[in-house]
Amino acid sequence: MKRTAPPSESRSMSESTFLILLSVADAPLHGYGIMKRVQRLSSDRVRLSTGTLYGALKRLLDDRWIEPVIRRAAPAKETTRTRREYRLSDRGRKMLSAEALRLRSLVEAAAAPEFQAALEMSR
Amino acid sequence: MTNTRSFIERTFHALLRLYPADFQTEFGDEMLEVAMACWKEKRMSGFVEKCRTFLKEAASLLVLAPREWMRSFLKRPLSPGRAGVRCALAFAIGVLALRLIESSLGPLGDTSILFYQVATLALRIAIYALIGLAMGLLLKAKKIGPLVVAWVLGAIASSGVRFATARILGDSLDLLTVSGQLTLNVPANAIFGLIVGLGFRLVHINGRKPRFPVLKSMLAFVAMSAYSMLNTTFTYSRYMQIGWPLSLALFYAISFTACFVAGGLLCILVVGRPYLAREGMVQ
Repeated sequence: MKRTAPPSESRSMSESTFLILLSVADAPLHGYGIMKRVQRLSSDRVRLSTGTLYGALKRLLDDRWIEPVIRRAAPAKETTRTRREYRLSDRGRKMLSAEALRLRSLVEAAAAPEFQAALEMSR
Repeated sequence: MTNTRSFIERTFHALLRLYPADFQTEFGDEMLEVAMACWKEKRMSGFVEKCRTFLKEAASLLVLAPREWMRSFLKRPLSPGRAGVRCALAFAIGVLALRLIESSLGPLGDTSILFYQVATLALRIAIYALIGLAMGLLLKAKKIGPLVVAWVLGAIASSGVRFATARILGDSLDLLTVSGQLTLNVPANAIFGLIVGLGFRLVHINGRKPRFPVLKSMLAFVAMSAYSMLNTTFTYSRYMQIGWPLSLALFYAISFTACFVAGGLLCILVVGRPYLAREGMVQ
């Protein structure tokens, strides 16, 4: 059946989305952990608020770019509470790789010798 | 437990209640936990830093709630009935507003002075553009521009036909002229429907193009000729001085209902097929 609406993959990836995906690329993280890691990855430049973070997480879950992992709290804490963490899905990994490649090619283009003087980039 | 909650926690909790129910169920507890963790992280900082963190978190929760409502609205499947009722309301309110403003112009609006004719046409176009915009939004159409343009062009074309009709038939209130005007309202509405239908051809509803939108739209707009008939009948009765306030109230009540039915019919007809196809009920 032909789908005429544009697929969500065609959307451009925002910096926050890229950093969130990157932060859960190697290991699952919970919301606060993602927030802190995004801050670290961006050298303190991007500070997500709770609303922004969960809005993005919901969208990424809907698009199946990340998936939830339910973890029980540590037995020492004597609680039955579970904690939800998020990890990159296969689909998200493909999107992240594609975006990283795109960004790399952009940086390589800007680093070409003919632009060095114009952009005043230091080698 | 609730009694021991701090003011900060209660504020965050209250702000989270502004989010759609499904969002709250899925993320509410987690969001509260994260917002409180952010706040606790700054607990040892100075007063200014604590205030800044609290305001940043609270503002983000407040500002992003409408966005989640919009997302939730756009994600919900659009049934023909619901879309029809919403669009019918938008259409009926728009037409009623137009009628009320036109009647508030009083006898000036009825004169043949070019300025008032142009002003009335501009008003008509603006209100129909708003109706097109409201329908596009309520039907969750992928592109709204073609719908707005179609409503504007439709308003211009049908006004042109009515203007030409008035020129040819004159504006006397004898039965023959009134009947002629009523009859010619049908092609005027059909042209309006044709143009709006062409607009619907360019948009996607429920991720699909509507089937036979021009035919369906023309059908709904021709059904709207009933409204023109009521309009003329009540205008006629006004001149014949038949119980003016009652006549006016009846006119607005019945014309609102007529527009509601016609607008609803249009939207149900246009949305119906894509919805059923999406739900796998038809091929």
